[in-house]
Amino acid sequence: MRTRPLIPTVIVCLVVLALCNLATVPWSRRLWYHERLDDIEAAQNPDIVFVGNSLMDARIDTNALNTGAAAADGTTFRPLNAALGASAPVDQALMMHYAVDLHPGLRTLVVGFFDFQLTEDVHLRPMELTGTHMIAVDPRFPVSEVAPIYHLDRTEQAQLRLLRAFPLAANRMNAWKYVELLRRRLGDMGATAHATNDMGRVEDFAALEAGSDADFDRQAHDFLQNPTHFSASYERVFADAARHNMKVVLVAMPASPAHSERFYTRASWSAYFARIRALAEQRGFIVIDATSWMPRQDEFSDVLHMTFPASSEFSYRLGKELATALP
Amino acid sequence: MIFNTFAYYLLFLLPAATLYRCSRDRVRPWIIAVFGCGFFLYFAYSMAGVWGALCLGIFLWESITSRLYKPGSRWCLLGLVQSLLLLGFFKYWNFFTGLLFWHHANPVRWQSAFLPLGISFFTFEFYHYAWDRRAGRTEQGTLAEYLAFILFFPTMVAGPIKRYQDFLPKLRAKPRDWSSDWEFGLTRILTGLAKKFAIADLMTAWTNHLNAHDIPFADRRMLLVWLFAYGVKIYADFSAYSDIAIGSARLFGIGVPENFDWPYGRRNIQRFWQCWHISLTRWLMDYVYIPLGGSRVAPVRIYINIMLVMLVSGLWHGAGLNFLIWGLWHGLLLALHRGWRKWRGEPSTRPLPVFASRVVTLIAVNAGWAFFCMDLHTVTLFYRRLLAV
Amino acid sequence: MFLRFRQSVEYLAGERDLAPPLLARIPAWLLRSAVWLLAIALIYAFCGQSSKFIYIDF
Repeated sequence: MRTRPLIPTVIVCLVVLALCNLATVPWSRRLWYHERLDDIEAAQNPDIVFVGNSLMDARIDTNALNTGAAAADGTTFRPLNAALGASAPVDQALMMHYAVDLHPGLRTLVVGFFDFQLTEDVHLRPMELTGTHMIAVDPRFPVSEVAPIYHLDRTEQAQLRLLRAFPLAANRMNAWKYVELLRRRLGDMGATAHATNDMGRVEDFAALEAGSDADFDRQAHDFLQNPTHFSASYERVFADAARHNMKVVLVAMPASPAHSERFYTRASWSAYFARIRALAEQRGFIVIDATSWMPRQDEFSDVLHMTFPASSEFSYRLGKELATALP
Repeated sequence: MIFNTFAYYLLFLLPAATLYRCSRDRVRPWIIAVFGCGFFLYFAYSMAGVWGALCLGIFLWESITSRLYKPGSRWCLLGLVQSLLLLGFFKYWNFFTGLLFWHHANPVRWQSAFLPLGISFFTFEFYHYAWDRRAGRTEQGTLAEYLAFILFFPTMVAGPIKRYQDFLPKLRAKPRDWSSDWEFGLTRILTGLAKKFAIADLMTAWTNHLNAHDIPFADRRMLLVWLFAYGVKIYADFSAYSDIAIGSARLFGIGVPENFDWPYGRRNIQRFWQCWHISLTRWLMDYVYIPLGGSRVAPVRIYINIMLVMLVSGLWHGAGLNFLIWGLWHGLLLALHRGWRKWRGEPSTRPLPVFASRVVTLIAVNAGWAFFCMDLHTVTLFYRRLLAV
Repeated sequence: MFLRFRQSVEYLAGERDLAPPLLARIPAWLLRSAVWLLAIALIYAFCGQSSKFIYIDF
């Protein structure tokens, strides 16, 4: 007579899945966003913190920064780069919060931005906390701390708790990444090769720009209707800075000639940037317009991101500007 | 795809199958009918909005008119006609009117055309029921039983196309061995999902290149790879869908017909069609080929019947000239096979001819997939590049 | 041989109820567990293919 394997099968599967969940925890600790959080924790008495997305992540050359600063007035910085690639403003707010909590000695905040980053916000639902957004799922941050930053209601907080209980579910995109790499290798066989940089396919980064000129103008117009505040996430970043009496510097990041010609020559951008500068100066922030610092397309690995040699040059110049501008 | 959503399993399949097993005999068909209605409303609304959801009325209308079908009755003819009209209107209106106004703007084009969920399948089940009722081949069953048949949601969207006379006894039987049914049903569902994601979806890394932009610049050898990848993808995708449907039905303790039987690697095109989308092949045999005379007519008529059946098959798969040509291609293959068999007699059993026939069949089938996945312009581009013409 | 392979695959995939002689000796719960876990692993790894990836750290 055939035995009934359903119940034993279900039990075995549940046990194995539970073990896999447990095994996912040490594995996820080696992911790069996790290591970035560990770097923040391990930093030694930093006095300047950089916050932003991939334009600033891995694009601050500490040596070049200090060489530039020293060349200006002999200043030396102890920088902490808390910028995170592929992050949303809410993620940057959490990174800032973590950095100032751990390092009350921080004196200066530098926020690198492009286009409408300072005034547009994104509401991430718990199921969207994948990839870099997984910092919100990291158990070192209590849900009570994450909830106001990510604007999570009670249901979403419960979902976040559920995600934390199932690391396999939370880390799914980290597994999917390998399949995506396999797909790209298969797709590139015998077909026109895609240009890539250190982060992915060059053409994909066009998705970070506005979809059209009209869309770009609309985004500028949306802010100009009520230009009295930054996005909620950046207001939180600046509030954290104010609480610690930090000087705030806003850096409009270098833009590639392609991006500049298409968008930064538009009247909507001039009006938007003027208003941002006025709002910043009202708050006592320093604004550095670095959009035209890199005039050659070969200084960029895609429409937005500087190459590493260019980022050293950028860091040198930024160091000089910061040393001059800061008291 | 509906079968890869949590909603399908958590809102419909698991609760329905559990309730079904725990219910009394008279309530069970209503469980299927109610959940089927909910399933249709939920997914039809998400795909086509309010109008899509309102198409549930088609099922309710069909269930009412089905009560009039009796052996030899003309009401059955109404059932046949309304099934074809429904399919023709929703699926083929723009195609045929577009042909009518070839190269000109179509003044009667239905701008916001949409397809009711599962229309290609449920209209075939309606047609079968009306036909077999008229022929006296199936009993009427109760209203609840017929509603359960047409609203059985595991097979509603993409088959297998069921037969009422097969379904009814299984519906009436009390489901017994839930442990075995759930073991095999869940296994079937899991392996179907794995096949869908790990094979079918992965193949799109290659098949996405089958377009007019990529073909001109591709390495010619990769064109073959991409075409065969499409053959793998469509088999994995469709058979996975059938696996999930059959596995889902098994959770109720209801067996539905198998749809695929290792079609690739069959000896000839006739065997291929006996093993590929089996429920459709049987439907076409019973309701198109045999009524046209089948194989009991003059030889020329037989070949015409074969071509007509495959033309219908092509058109059923899609409202487009490329699908028609795909159907004709298979019709031609079947006709050639029939002629070959007539000429050569019984097939050889020697290993080399057997192997060669399997390879030729595989190549012929995959050659036809080009028409299935690309429009005519792109297919022409593809074959010209492949054959260096 | 191919027939035995087919029967084994069909049994493992839940298409056939009766185990072929080759697999009948192995406890059913062990076979089912292996199949389910393999399927779950494949589903988990491959189900994200419609997701958009801009950044991938190679």
